[in-house]
Amino acid sequence: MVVGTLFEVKPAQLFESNDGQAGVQRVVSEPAVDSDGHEALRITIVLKRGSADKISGDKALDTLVGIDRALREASEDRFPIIDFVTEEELESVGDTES
Amino acid sequence: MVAPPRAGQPRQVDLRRAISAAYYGLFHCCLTAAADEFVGVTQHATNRYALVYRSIDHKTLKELCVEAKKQTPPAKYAPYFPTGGFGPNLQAFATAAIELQEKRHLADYNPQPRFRTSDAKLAISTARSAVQRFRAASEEHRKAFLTLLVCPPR
Repeated sequence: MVVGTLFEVKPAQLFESNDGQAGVQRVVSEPAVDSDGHEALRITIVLKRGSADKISGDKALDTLVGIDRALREASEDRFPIIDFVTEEELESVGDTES
Repeated sequence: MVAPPRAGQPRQVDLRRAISAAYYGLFHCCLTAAADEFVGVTQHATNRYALVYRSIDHKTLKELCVEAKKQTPPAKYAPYFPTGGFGPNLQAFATAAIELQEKRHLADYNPQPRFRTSDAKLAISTARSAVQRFRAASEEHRKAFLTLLVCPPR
C-alpha cells in the first residue's frame, strides 16, 4: 500500500511532537469513501502515549500538507481522511455512545 | 467539549461537536474575510455585508481549495491564479479546509465512526493554525483567493 510504505520510511520526520520527539507510533491506511461518495483513503496516525498534547496545530497542519503532497507525488488521487489516535485510546473501549 | 468529564471518557456527541466547531471556525474566518474585503470591515451590520457573507457555501469553498492546492491551476482558474500558485500559507489553509470539512461531515451526519479525544484536539489546533496561515498569506494571494471564493469562474 502506497501510504503505508511512505510512512514506514520516515514517520518521525513527518510528525514530531513539540519537544522534538517522534510522536508517531505507526500509520495505517485503508480504502474508504468520502462524503461525496468518492473513493478515499482513511489514514490513521497512531500517536505514542501522551504525545497528543505535545503536538502543535502547526505540526498537525504540516503533517496534513506533507501527507497530501506525498500522495500527489505517488500519483495517488484518492482523498485522504486522516484520523489521529493515541495508543491508550486504541486500548480504551469504554467511551460512551452519545 | 474535549475536556475529560469527571468520570469516564468524553461523550461521542461532545467530540463530534468539537470537530464540527473546528471546521466552522475556519469556514466563518473565510466568510468574514470575504465580506470585510468586498463590503468593508466597518459594515458588519449592513445588509450588503450579510449578503456577501452568506453567498459562500461549503461546496464552493471545497472546490476552490482543491484547486488552490495545485501549483498549476486548471484552465478556467488560470487567469485569476497568482503567478506560481497561492503559496505555502494558503495551500496549507486549503489542505486543512478540505480535511476538516470532510471530518465535519462525518461528525455531523455519519453515526458510524467513533471519534477520539486526540482527533478532536488536533482538529481544533489544526483549524487555529490554518486560520493563522490564512492571515499570514500575502495580501495579493489572499485577495485572489477571496475573489475566486465570492466569484467562482464558470
